[in-house]
Amino acid sequence: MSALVWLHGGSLSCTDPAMEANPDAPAIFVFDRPFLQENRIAFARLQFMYEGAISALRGRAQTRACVGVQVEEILKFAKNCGCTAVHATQVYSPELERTFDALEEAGLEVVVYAADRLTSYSGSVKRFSAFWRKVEREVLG
Amino acid sequence: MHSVELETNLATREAITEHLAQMLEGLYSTDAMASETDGSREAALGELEAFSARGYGRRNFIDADTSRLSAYLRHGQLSITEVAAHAKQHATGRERDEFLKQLSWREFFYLVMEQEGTGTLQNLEPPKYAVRWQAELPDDIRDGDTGLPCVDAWVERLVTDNYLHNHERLWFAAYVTHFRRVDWKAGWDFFREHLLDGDIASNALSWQWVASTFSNKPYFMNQENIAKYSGNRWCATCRVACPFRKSYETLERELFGTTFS
Repeated sequence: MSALVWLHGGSLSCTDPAMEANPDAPAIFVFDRPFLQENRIAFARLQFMYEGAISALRGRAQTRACVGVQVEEILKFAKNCGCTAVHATQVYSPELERTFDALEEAGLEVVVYAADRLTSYSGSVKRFSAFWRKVEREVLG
Repeated sequence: MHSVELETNLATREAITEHLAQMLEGLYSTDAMASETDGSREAALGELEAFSARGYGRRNFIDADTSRLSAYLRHGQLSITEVAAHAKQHATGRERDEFLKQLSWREFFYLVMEQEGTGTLQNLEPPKYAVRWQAELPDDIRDGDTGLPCVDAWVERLVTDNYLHNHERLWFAAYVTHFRRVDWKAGWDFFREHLLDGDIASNALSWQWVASTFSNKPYFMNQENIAKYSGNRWCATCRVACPFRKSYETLERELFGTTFS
């Protein structure tokens, strides 16, 4: 089963877990037109992200960067590359979850990699001071 | 909705600006100007290499040498573990520990986000004082035209540098939510528009922390605090009627109708 890597706004590096796990896979970055039409975002932010994206894509044989409807563009790229799975790294955002769901509904297997973590803490969180007491030794060690 | 292919082999930052300005026309809210900060992984590594945490103990002063790595952490050009590993290798003593503690706030915010999901974009708790916030950010704030030199300078820096020191972020958030009675969500949206590190987890939760919807009491400051941590940058020559020039006790009573201490 061949995979492609989706680089989203929280994973703009060749060292992203999904990228490192698939060093020879095609990779895509999409500026989501509907999101940018609905939300005010400064140009400087978009260039900063794009510089991260092209730096991450550099050196890969098959890449694509585009502006469009995110899900549609990923599906189109998957079809062109003959890929049946999309690999991406988890960051928590409503848009990302919606994209994962839509890709799955469209028939792609979605493989999600855990984001890099500073601690192994997995309990509930409410106030930083309580969290810090639990992780201080691990973080400073 | 049509799609547009983007060029990835662009030799300079100026070429990227020119290309994106054309290809993303109508999809950005400002002039097509790049930030001084380069978003590539290579630039991120350069910034990380240059960071030693020396002077980090002064981080609350706005002229302090802070890491400026947050945008790279936000967008993934740097990972939190490689930044922590760098700090452990190159920093020492209290400055090392303080930097690692600050880094842990990022982890904390992401865990809250994971736990609360989209609820992070709503009040996580009721505000700790009786308040009716207005939904929209007033134009004079958005335009940096409040007449308060410090507030207008924060807006100017936000819009032109796409960065604000953490203390300026807190002051601005307190001004917007408590002094002007504007919903933190409008302020967060303004930050997300401009900050290179704008995101939901760190920024929305920091706004909620100031607003008291994710803390036990509202965060606020007075003029003395601004003068101290800004090195008197604005106060020395300021001649306006300053809304911050009061004791904490008076401000608490006026802003919240109660005391929290």
